[in-house]
Amino acid sequence: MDVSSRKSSIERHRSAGRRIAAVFPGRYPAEVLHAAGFLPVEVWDPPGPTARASGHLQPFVCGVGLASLELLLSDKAPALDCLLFPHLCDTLQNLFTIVRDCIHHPTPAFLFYPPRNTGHSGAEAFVVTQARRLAGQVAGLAGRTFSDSDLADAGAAVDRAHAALSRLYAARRNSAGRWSNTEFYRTVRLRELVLPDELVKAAEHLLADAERGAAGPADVKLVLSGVLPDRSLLALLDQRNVHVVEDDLISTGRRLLRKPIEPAPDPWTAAARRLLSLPPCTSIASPIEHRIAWLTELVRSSGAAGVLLHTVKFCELELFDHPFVVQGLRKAGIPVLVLESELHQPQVGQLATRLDAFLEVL
Amino acid sequence: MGASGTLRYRLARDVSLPLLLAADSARRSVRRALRPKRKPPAWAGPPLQCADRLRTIMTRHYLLARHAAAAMPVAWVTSGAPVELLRAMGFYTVYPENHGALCGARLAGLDMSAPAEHAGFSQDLCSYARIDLGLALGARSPVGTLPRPNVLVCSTNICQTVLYWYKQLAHHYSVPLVLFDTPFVADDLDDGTLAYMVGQLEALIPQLEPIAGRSFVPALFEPILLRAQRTSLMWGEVLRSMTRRPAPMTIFDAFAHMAPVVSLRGLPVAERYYELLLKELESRVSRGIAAVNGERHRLLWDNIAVWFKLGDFIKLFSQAGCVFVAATYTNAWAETVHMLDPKKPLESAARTYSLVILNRDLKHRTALMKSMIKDYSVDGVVFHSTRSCKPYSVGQYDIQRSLSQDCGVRTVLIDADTTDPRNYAEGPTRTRLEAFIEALDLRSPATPSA
Ligand code: SF4
Ligand code: SF4
Repeated sequence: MDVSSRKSSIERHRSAGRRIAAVFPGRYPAEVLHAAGFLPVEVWDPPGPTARASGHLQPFVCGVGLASLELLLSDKAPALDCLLFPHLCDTLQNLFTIVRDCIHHPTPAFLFYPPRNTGHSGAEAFVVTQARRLAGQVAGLAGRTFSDSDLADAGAAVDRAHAALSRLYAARRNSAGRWSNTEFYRTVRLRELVLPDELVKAAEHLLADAERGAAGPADVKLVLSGVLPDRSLLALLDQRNVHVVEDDLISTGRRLLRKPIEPAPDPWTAAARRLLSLPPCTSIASPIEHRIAWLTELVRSSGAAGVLLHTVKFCELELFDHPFVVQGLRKAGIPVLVLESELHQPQVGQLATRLDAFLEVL
Repeated sequence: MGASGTLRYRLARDVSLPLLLAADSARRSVRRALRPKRKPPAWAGPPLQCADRLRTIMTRHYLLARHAAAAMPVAWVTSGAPVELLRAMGFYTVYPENHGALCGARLAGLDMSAPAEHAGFSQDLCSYARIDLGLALGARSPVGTLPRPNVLVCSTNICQTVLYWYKQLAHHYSVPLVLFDTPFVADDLDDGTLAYMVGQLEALIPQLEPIAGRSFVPALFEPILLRAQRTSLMWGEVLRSMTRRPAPMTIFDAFAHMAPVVSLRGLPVAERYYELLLKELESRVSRGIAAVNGERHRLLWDNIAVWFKLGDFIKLFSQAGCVFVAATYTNAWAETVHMLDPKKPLESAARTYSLVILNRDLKHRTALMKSMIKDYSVDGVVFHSTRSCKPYSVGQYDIQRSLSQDCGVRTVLIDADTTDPRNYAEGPTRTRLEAFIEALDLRSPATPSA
């Protein structure tokens, strides 16, 4: 997604009276921000060199961490009303406290901790307390509180967005060839910068296009796993008529509710259930077996020929999983290719060579 | 686990190991006596007498571990896990991080992590984890074998990395992973977070009971909790002995002598050990015995040790009269233990375990370091930026700036690793450290205090 659309979304919503929250990578209850009158704009992989961030972060910090900080330090950063750091990993945890406590960034910064012990009976209640705390923090900035029914409305909109994205993923499985990988993820990633109902509209637009006719066949279908749908990688796949038909990426598929949550007694519990019903993630205590089973299910249900595990260099949370996940998938007869690259600086030639070798085997 | 296993364990614990260790100690004494007397370097104060005892305790711990699996349930735990609960249920605890440090100190880090890297674990991962996964995948540890775990107990209070690491172990060994998740404390500990943690501790008990094969008895837990607290408080006293000038020990000593408070906390052996060590330190202080003769500059160390370089660093700093008298790392096992309260055992344990340095923001860490600089009369700070440990390293650039500006101390940051020598460049690091020492001399060419 290009910066101009991010910019225009921010401008559009700001002029409509919304405040802007920059949200760093991770899982968080977006409905709380929506209800409080904020537009969450997610920061996953802003482009550009990271010279200023290097003054605060060691070279062994992943590109996502560096790029996120660079955006905050640059003069080109849009005016923001708050920063939200969902606690995803050690790097982002420390990035939060660097920004708040060391750099003393003028924009108020908050942390949201999604529980790792998601199987624990108290996890739901804990998310509720965290969500309420976040609500208090942002309400303090907005100078107004919101009611439970505001939150319920915001939650319902989030549910609609999840449902629309799920339909989009289903359509992608059935008629992958209609959209390039790049086009598909451009729409999916709109989630990072628009409100849920705008996302629904964009997804429906694309779905209407799919209904107009069958797609040309893809040469190969793959499931993509890892952190982000890297633009260069998507372009490489597009050039080879390889279609990503499902994904288990932290930024997209792993934040997509595939089925409605269990009915909740109140909108806060519903927000917690949305968060706790997401697919298995490397960041939580879900066993490796669950991730292997989840990936196997994605491969089987989408008819993919294999899995592409693509990781950002220095991303511990993904790198730890690879050996046993690869082993598990291969045991299930699923071919896997592991790729690791720097954010925005993939050695395209090298990636292409390895990708071609993999495709040949498939 | 059965009667014969228990018998073997007891025989080892009460008969064969004491004999073996006594023979080993005698052998070492003889060797020492026969060895041609080398004059110790002029900077070296008399070594700590307790070092022999420490060696015996830790050797016994690892040797006993070999017999433990046949006699009792074995738990592999992270260094920040609430081990007191496990002790009350009769678990034998093994600390992979301590084992990693030990492998690093014995220069075995690379060999140990080789099978893990061969299996696909990236060289960019925490090297303690790589060593441990290497062990799981067939590497031979310098301590021989570690018993297979029956359960893994992991707490996120030191990092999230341990969770990713222990998930792999759970998969490999097909054993349950019990998690004590301690949300990062960005401001104050709120009630919701406290309730979440206490709830997990309560849930831990029924999860562990079937593995332990026995029920949790609160009456057993309380004395263990109190003993762990006394042990950690004594460890704090040990560290505080270095506020004295000249310091009776150094942080390099503390890196070794912290092993019991990390690995054996809650057991009588650890408590007795620190009683002994404290007595020796008090005597050294009263007699003005210095760990380093000619103490001129007092330093603070930030982060885990560079285990494979300890000997070189001791020499480099000591011969220049630089003594490390404080470290954020060793302090971690003494910082919050006063919060333990047997009247509210689980709630106070949740506080104690979640408010440790690595689970708190950099505001806290910077303030803590500033107070250490003051309390220990520190002139300079060495930051070890270790590629293995992001929670400890990321943020050091900013802390360094803050301490230089606000405390007027000299600081230096070196890039290295806890156990992986491939992440260490000898030439540039040495040059940097020498320049740092020269700068200290320029600032305060103080007369030696001892
Ligand atoms: S890429 Fe990995 S290490 Fe980096 S911020 Fe994302 S999750 Fe954390
Ligand atoms: S060295 Fe750091 S990353 Fe590794 S286990 Fe220890 S605290 Fe975690």
